[in-house]
Amino acid sequence: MELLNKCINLLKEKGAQKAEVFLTKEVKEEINISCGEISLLRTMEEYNLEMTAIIDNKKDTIKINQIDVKTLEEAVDELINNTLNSQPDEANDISDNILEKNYQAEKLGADIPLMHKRFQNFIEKAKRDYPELVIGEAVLEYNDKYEYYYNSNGVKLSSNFDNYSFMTMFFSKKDKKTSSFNYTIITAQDLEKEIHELGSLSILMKESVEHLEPQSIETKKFTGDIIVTPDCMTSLIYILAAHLQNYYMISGISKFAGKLNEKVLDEKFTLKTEPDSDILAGKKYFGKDGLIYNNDYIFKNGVLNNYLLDLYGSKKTNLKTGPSNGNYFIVENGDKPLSEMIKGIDKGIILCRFSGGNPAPNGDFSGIAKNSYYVENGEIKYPIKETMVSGNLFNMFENIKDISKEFINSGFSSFPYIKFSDVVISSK
Amino acid sequence: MKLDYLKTFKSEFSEHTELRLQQNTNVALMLVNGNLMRNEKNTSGGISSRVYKNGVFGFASSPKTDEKTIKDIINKSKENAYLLDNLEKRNKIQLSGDGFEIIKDFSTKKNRVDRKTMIQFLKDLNAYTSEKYNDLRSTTFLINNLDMEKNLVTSFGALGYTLIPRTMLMFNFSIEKDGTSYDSYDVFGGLGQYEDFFDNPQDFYEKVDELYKKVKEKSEGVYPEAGYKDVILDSKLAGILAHEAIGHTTEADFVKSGSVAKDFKDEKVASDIVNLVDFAYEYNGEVCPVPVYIDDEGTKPEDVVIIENGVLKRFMNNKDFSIDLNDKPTGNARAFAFSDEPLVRMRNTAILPGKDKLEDMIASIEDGYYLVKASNGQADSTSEFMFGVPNGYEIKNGKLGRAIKDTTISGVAFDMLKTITMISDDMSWSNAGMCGKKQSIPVGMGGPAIKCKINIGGK
Repeated sequence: MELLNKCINLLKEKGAQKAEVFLTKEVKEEINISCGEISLLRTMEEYNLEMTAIIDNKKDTIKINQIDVKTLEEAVDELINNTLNSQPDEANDISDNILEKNYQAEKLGADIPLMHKRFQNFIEKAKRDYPELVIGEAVLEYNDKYEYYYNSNGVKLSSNFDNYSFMTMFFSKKDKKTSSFNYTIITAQDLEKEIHELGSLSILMKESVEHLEPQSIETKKFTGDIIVTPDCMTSLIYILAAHLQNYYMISGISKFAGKLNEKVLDEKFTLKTEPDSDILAGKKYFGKDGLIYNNDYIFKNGVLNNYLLDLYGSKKTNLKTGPSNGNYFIVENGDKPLSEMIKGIDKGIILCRFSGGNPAPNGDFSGIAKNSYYVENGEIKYPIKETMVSGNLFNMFENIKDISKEFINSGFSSFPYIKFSDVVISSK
Repeated sequence: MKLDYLKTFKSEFSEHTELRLQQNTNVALMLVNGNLMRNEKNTSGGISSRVYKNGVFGFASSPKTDEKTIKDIINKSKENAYLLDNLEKRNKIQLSGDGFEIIKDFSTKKNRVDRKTMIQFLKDLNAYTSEKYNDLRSTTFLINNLDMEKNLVTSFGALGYTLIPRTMLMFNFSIEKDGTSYDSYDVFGGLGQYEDFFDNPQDFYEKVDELYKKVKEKSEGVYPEAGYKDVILDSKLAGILAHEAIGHTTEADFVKSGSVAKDFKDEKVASDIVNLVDFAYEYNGEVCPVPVYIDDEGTKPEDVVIIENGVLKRFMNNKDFSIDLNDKPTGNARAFAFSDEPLVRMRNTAILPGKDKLEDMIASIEDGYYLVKASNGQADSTSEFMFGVPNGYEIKNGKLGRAIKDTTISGVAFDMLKTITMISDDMSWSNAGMCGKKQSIPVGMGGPAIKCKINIGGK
């Protein structure tokens, strides 16, 4: 691409010993629901150009979204000046994996009338099946995304794919009773399915209405089992992943530092990253550091197989780069039906949404069990309110009781239900 | 001026239109254990147009700001509004507004410093910390300077240019004890650019010492006992309480959808001593952390008294929702990026000070906790809220006891507000609040210390 070659040449001319450029271009069409009504149609064209220069191991990055010649030249001058004033670090480098590659997925194009029809059907379905449900907010977006990475070592990568993403936040309302809100985010390759058929949306809508009548758990405090749902799993997995990424690894507070190829979690737990998946609708072919992403295991049967380090993190820690930047996760499902997992609980909860503080580096966490259910003697008893859970994330993943055979594919991740033990559950 | 350029497009408006030319500039530096892990500047700007037609909006945006592109964007937003109006046929009444012009520029009056000076500032703090406290496992120093420059022209004559900067310096220290890591953070800065706050690193040595003391205490601290407890929420926590627990439920979009606050209008929702206001730009003659002098729909903002002497009085709104709520627009329509549409957002939300002294409040508790600050928070349609609490202390027999480890507190706001029995006579504003409702945007949050009952997580 001419623009990227121009940037690299300009950076070299101005004194950069190493240079890299990452450009994204996105064309988006978006329909919004607000307070249950279709309210907004947006069209957006966006550019983001990120240029990095390295001089004598000193590095600086500048990001701009206007790519006219004058803005570009001013940005390059500022970048070079700031690079010279930066701090040297031998880990500052660019990819030398010399390669020219273009990833081009089959494209569909935006279909605004179909987007509107799917949204109308979603609103009508919700009104018909769940009259108490309020769609506070929903966004259906078509995104046609182009990404380009060039560097002064001759690496030239590009990709283009389009997809739809859907987000909604909803709750239920009956007379003066209001349920907790819930939300979901889903990526889909096309709009063949109706909105309510995507991900776990139909389950979540049903649960929302059930939570118009929540109860406090009678036992004020106990230690029990919890089943974490696929929707709730997302935040837990990203916390685990953070311990494998640059910040935790370089700052020396990662739980998993020095544990590569060791069994660190329960052997039932296998986590993969699939940035180019046959299963997931979302794609990510390469990173801002010019490294190609691959589908690979992060934890396999509890053994740590890969960190999620980028080029800088890799050089800083003398460990190999990760197969991705830490996205598009798949947790392998087990063979036990969810119903069997519930039957095995004497006293515990199904944790459907967790609203809590950021866990401490040691994995300690506490927060509210939202949209969740109390389970006793193997049966779901009632939806709960004002219930807190606390425990240690690492202890939980070291001692998994069961993993379900059912799983939910949200398009950017696929997770089953996981049962953990020894979580403190307290009610007001 | 960019505003003059923007005014030249007024003749293109044929419907209720907002045309916004905006640039956000962010400089971020992060030093982790002495390694400069982030050193970058991000400039993102462009044009957006939003058109209202019979109850629906059309929006379009582009990073290009030449004359042809701006005309195309105005037309595209109009096309989108017409297309959606044709599909929806809502036939809602037309929006309106008053013409006025405002110019507010909060950029620094000092000479700008270069990046080298900023990096040296962080290196100095890191050197001081690592030399004095060699038992720290990790140190992170971060500078973030966000300048939001907005130009707005509307079809009804409201015009504005504002440059609102915010700069933060954050420390995060981590320490290990018995094989377990504990961390704590603090944030400084506020409305203004780097030069307005960070002349001399030595000014912050005392803050480094204080944070070290906190993280050390925490590593030797105890887990709080889980349950429903008497607590003092320090002023740093009262601000996030005002924002998360109450503020969100009183935003007009949540109210129209059916948030629990809708049912409590003009009812007693808190003890008599509780007053809560969303300030537009000033409190007690002082400029607030995130002043809004013209909102992104062109409304002249006014303060919204949400709770007065314990009674829920008013909701925050925008032009469209003000029709539904039979109120006038309050000026709470805010967008983060040029390509974002304005949403109903808080500005500077605060619980107002009372008459009590913090030491008397602590002395009044036999067995409870003094909770110092929050890490993050979340609200709910039910007004149930939670905050992460990274620092706090036990209170035993009216005296501060041992430090506590990380915990989470929760409650139902419209129940908890009735348990407030004491409010301190001081007031502080958070300088780092970000609200993540669809678009992440800076907000001001403030308050005094309050005594109440709350659920606390622990062991």
